Amino acid sequence: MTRSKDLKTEKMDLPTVKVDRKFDLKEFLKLARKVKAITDKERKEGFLIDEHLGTSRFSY
Amino acid sequence: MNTLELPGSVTSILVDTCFLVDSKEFPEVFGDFTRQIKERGVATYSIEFVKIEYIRSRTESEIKTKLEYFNKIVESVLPIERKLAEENLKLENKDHLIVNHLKSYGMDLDGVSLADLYLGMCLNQYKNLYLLTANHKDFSIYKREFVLPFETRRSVKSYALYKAS
Repeated sequence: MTRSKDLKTEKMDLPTVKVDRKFDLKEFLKLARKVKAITDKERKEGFLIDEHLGTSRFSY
Repeated sequence: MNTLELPGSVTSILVDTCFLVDSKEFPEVFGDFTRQIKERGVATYSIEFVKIEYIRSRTESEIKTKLEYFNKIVESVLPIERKLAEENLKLENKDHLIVNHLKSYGMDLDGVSLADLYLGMCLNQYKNLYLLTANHKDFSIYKREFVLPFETRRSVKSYALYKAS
């Protein structure tokens, strides 16, 4: 069911952004692992609970 | 495992926190999809709520690392327009963005967070914007245009691209 069509708001153009098409997968993986190490540590220490990451909002 | 293909008609994506969370848990799977997004020139947006929710940490260096990661995926944070905010102070306005948005949820509003409401308002406010989320229950008023199953070794993460009609 879609009810968003009931909204009468006039839509605006999105702000233009310059997309950086160069994507270094290796660099991305390295950074992702660095972030995962931080969040794993935060979770273990009880600082980071799902709610803080917004995961309580999700259906899994 | 299958490689996910981004639908050709999608030119701009609004990223929810779950994508940032899952992409660092399963970087190979989500990294390939992110590469597709970038190489196809698809613009990626998010909102301040998602950014703060994601980068929240105790030390400056941890915040900086999370911020660097956020910026690898998200190119621009959509502003809450001042003009809209001022217009929305006039509750008698029949086109009141927030009141209409809450009304459109009706009984489905239960459990919908503030971040979800803002993400939804961005979908209502901007043209050609798709929300990328795994949170299917809180965006039931939007059109689920594409379903994206991200296959990991032990599970399948179900994402969808939602659009305001």
